[in-house]
Amino acid sequence: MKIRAYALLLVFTASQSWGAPSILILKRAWVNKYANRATITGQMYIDHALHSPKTPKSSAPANDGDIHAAGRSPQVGLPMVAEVMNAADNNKSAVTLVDAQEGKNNLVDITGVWRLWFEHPPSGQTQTQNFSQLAKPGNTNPDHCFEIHPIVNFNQQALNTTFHSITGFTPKDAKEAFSRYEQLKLSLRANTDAVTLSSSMIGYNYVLFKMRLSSSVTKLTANDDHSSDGLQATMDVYEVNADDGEPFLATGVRAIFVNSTAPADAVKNLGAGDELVVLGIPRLDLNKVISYLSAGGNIANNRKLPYEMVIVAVESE
Amino acid sequence: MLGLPTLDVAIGIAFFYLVFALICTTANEAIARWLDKRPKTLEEAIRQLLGNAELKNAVLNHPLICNLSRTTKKGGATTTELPSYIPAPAFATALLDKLTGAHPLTDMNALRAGLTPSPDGPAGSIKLPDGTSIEVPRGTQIALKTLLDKAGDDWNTFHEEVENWYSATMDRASGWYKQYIQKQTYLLAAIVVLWANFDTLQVTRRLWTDSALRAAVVEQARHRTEQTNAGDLPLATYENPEKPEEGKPIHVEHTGASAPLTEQERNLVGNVTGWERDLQELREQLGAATPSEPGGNPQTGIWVKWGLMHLLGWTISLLAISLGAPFWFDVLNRFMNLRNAGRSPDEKRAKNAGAAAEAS
Repeated sequence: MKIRAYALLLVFTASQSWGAPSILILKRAWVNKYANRATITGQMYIDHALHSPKTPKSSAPANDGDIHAAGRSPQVGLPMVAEVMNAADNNKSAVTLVDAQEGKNNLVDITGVWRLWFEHPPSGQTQTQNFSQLAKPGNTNPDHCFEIHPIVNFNQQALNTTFHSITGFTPKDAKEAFSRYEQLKLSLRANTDAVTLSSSMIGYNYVLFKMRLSSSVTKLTANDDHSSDGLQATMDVYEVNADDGEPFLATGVRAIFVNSTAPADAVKNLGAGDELVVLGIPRLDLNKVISYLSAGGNIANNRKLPYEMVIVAVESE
Repeated sequence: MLGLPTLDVAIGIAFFYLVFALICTTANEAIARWLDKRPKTLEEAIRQLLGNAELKNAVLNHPLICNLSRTTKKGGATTTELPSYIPAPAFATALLDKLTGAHPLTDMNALRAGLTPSPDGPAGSIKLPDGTSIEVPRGTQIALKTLLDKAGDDWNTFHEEVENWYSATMDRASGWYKQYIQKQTYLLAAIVVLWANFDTLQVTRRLWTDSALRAAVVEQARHRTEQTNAGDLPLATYENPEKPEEGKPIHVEHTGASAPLTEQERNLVGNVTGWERDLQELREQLGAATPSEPGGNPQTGIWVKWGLMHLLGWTISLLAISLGAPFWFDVLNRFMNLRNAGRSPDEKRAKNAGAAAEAS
């Protein structure tokens, strides 16, 4: 009977779709367009919005101070949310700005960091990019792998000044976060039209770490129209208090800086070997995906997930 | 904490679920293809959308749609298969072309005339270029006229509205097809489970007690996860593939963990399932049975226990198989990852030694 009890337990456990890898089907031309862009500019319907940010406080240091809204964008074609960083800034003016559009069915102009990350994926399910039919989300946090986060400009209002450290917030520990990122796996399959990606759920936003540049800082140049909305550099990643000689947590990671933000200003004159303590959020490195595809690799099985860090605040130089 | 044998049994069970789900998926697709289920569902959805078969046929026979069909020759006769998918723009253009008749496609007056309900009867009609008339049901006329009014006098907007109208119906049709496939999956799973006597409880017991079998199954599971992981991912084709932010997927393939079964896998299935061994064991139990009380029939108890346990085992198998091959493939991957992470130091050393030997 013990064996049967075990079997039943295992069958039951396996029947739950916990953390099963999710599948994301993206249009290949879209992947190519955004592979070397820091941000996405488009329009979005705000269907549901949080009405107040979860402000960090001593009793809740994990609150990140963001406010997010779920909606639809014809330039994204995926279930998505958009988030304002440091939403309590300026007497919560950004919150008012976003909430004013909730449920109005207006297409609102939006620019922000595009972010593909399997943070809230539909476990074991597939999401397919579709620009013609945009499914309306049912709440403020639908299953999604795409975010515009942080928002840089919303309805013609600049929000680039929100790119600064979050007072009272306890960011994710660098050692733990990067050890997770480094273990992430990605399976990929592509044809001429589409790229299919599969990975498992991972969170770990807002990680504080020390970056040591291993390359010069250069303009991020879009693959299609050669425009530039940011800077890029390759870095080695260390713990915040790492001494010289301590091993890096990750190496060869691309760091992305959004034009006209404090992190971009702080890094623009730096070079290889320079260090900064920064707050970053991870996203899929589509440039590596495109490079792999361009080299003729149309299938990859459980490879290391290529990721890059968008630097959203500089803590110290 | 799970010991390795327990994990291996779980891997074995997930592996067999995957194999049987694959069998069901393959059979399911073959039956749906044989019955032309997808094109027929599409045709029925268009008939419901347009309100009658005449108008549906007129649109489906439009060259823009006909060209999407595949023509095959069977025994000298040429047959045209219905398409499995009709892009919304092609449908909208074909329909508007029918509504405007001999007038130019973008003639808004002709469109309005084609959508004006006939005062003489319940339905109006449109005239085809060859002079024949097609009845347009009142409901369809009203639906299209509403869309026309919504679009104002803008032909492009009206075309877009018709596309959306069609796409919404196609979403429903897709739901019908999925429901049909799900029902058929249950039926096929039941047939396969009974045919192979795939009883989860029995297979679990065999895997638990036979370490050689367990090792063989884990090895095959490892092969399958390594070989078919990425190859199993679905692919899509898009309208206007060169335009980054336009269009929708035309076709998303659902391959499942679709690599065909290998001979070793088939052998393992044959080894673990089937009726022969089961019935032999039952005969032995019945032969050895002795009455516990005078006049009692000990065989009845054995039969009842055999039946109930099988019923439970088959039901678990059926429900598990109906979750589908992709699901079990994911579960198997997770179990294999867990196993690789928890490999014993000796096993790790042996593997590393093997790798070093290969490298040198």
